Amino acid sequence: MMSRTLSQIAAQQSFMLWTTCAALVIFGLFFAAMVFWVSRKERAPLYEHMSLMPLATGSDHESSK
Amino acid sequence: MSETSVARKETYSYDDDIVKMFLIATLVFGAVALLLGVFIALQLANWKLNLGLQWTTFGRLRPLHTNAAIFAFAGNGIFAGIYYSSQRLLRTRMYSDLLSRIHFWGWQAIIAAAAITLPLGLTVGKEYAELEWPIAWVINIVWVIFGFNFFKTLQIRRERHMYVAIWFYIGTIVTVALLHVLNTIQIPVSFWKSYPVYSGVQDALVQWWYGHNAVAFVLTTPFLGLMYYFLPKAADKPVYSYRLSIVHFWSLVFIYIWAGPHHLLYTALPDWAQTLGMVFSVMLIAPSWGGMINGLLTLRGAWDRVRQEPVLKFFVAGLTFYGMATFEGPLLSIKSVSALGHYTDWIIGHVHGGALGWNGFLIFAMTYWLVPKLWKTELFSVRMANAHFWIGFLGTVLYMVSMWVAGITQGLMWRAVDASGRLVYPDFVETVIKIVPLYWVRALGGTLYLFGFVLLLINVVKTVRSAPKSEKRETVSGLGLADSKPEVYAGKPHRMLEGLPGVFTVLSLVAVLVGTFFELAPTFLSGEFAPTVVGLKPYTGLQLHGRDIYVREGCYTCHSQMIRPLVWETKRYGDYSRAEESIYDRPFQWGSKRTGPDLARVGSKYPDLWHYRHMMDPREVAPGSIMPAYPWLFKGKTDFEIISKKLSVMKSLGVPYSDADVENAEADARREAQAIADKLISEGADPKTAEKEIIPLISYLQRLGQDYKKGAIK
Repeated sequence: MMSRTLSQIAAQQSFMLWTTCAALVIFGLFFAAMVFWVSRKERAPLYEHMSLMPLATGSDHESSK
Repeated sequence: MSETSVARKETYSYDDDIVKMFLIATLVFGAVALLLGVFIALQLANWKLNLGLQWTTFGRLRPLHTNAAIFAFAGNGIFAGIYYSSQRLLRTRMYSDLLSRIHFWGWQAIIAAAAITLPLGLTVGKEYAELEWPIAWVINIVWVIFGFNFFKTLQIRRERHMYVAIWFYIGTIVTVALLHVLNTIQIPVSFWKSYPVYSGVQDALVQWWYGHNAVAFVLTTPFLGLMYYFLPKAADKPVYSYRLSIVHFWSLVFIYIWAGPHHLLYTALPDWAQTLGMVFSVMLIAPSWGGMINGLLTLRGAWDRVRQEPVLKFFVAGLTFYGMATFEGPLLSIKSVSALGHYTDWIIGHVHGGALGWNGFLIFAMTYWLVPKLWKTELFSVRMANAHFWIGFLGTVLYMVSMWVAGITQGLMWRAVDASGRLVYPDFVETVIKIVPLYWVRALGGTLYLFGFVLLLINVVKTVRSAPKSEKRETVSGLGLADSKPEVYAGKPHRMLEGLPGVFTVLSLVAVLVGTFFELAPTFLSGEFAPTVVGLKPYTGLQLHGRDIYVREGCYTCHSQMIRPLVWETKRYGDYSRAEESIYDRPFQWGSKRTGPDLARVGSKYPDLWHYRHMMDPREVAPGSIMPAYPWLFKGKTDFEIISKKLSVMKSLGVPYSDADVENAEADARREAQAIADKLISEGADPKTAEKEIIPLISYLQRLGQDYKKGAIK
């Protein structure tokens, strides 16, 4: 069934708009969910902590100094 | 920190020797790649620099240049940065020093093999995937070793959280493996010759799914990972927005994989796939610029230091070039812009804006930052590094601008028609002569960039020489993973996810597989893309052998075989190319650049003698041509014995050869060669021509477009 549908999409140029729209909807949902997920306020301290990781100085991170 | 955790502190050291090894390799191969680039740029400005030798011809050296730049220079640079930053971000030594060294020497062996085989003409003939099957399999093995070592290092890490740079490395490792394995499925004919299992449209789609994502997952995602680590280090500022980096990562890996078909706009690829590629390419501008902005804003409060510090200069310029390239890419992916820019030097300018400006400058920034730290000394000369920046910057700008002008000039001249609808420049060579001065400007830009690189080399050598002689291995200490702070993760699902490399890896793979499936699956499930056309005969053995010579000489680096359904193209070359015309083409040879004219319908356009003379000295029949001569084709003997094996492999791939075709392939090829040679000899060619390689090549060229012209394809 799936195989047949995909073959039809591939073979018929009229499905062009349908395929592109489906792809955009998939990405749009994915993107919106991701933005919602990362924008929650309670995550701010965590992200601040994370963003400091490369800068952590001292023996744990800088053996070369 | 509790007393218990203090008691459990572990002592360890980082493997910085592997970082030094990769960094030195980066610099060595950077010099090679740039030297080759300047040399082939000069060849295009003056054809005599092809030197009349098969090993130094543009068609063979251009793949060597691209492979050296992407996999040797950028590749080694990526590995140096990944090994350095991963150990520190994960607070552990690499899982296995032995595997790290196998990775290093294996990668250098691959580069050496490429340096030998490509000038010898041993190539698959697909851009950025030219290396023949034994080398391709070594690449797969070495990549798996690298990946295994990396993931085992993740397993033994002391830092529970994976910083965003590590995500980009994970995305790179899994996607490159997927891309390379799928694109290099080939059936060997001999140790140094193979045919891809895909043909025609399918091969084109898979190749550019691979080719574009080589740009994405070799030249973009690992560099973004390096940027997210080294830029905050150099600026001594945290990344502007960690939140944005999460959005950046997921949207980039999700979108990039769809964009490949923008290399095939207006070709015989189905419209739906072209549109998908175009739409997602345009969307790519959002995550790309998100990353660029995140990088540039990381320098907030540190812009005054950019004036003094060459490392920051390179980072700022590199990110800006990244922003320019990722604006230009989506722009060129719009069909109407592609109609003008595709096949022209505009694309070359676009690619080099990214390669020289983004990849090169990021590696230089990393090098200037890393070398003093690795060798525990000060940089020899900040002034010299600043000079390198300005010379390299000027070189890059000259390169890009000259190629923009050349490309748009070409595009406009190709499409120019007069009031009566006739081409204004019907002779292709007119459009070539016009842009040769710009090829000199490009060569000047490349030379300046190379000169700047030489300053870097001197600076690094002097810095290393000034380093203290006795190096004592330093150790660091930290808590084991079991003792780090699990409470931080309570109720924070994404952080938990970031702490689970296995799950994270699978999700990254899913993100790239979604686009892969939507684009590739319909093409393989539908017979429409590999149709059986009644009356369409496969290549004769001699034509097939001639096609392999065409591939060997890298003709595809300058000639396309794809007439787009655009008025000015059909007026110049004939009716537009159909998908069916490529169904026996392994590899497809649609090309991506027209330094010379399209050859899709060149068959029977000229007599055999024209091709004979053209290959001997192109300027004899096309004054002003910049194509090299191919005198070795008139000396080298045709290997008739292998033709039967070639047909046999093609037959196993579904090409409709009969058993008799395979069995009699050699005799048939000799007979066909003799017939062509007899005619040429009667017109004054060398009496021993029948055995020479020029004959199969002429036979192949004369076949191009014949299926359509003779009505086998409607």
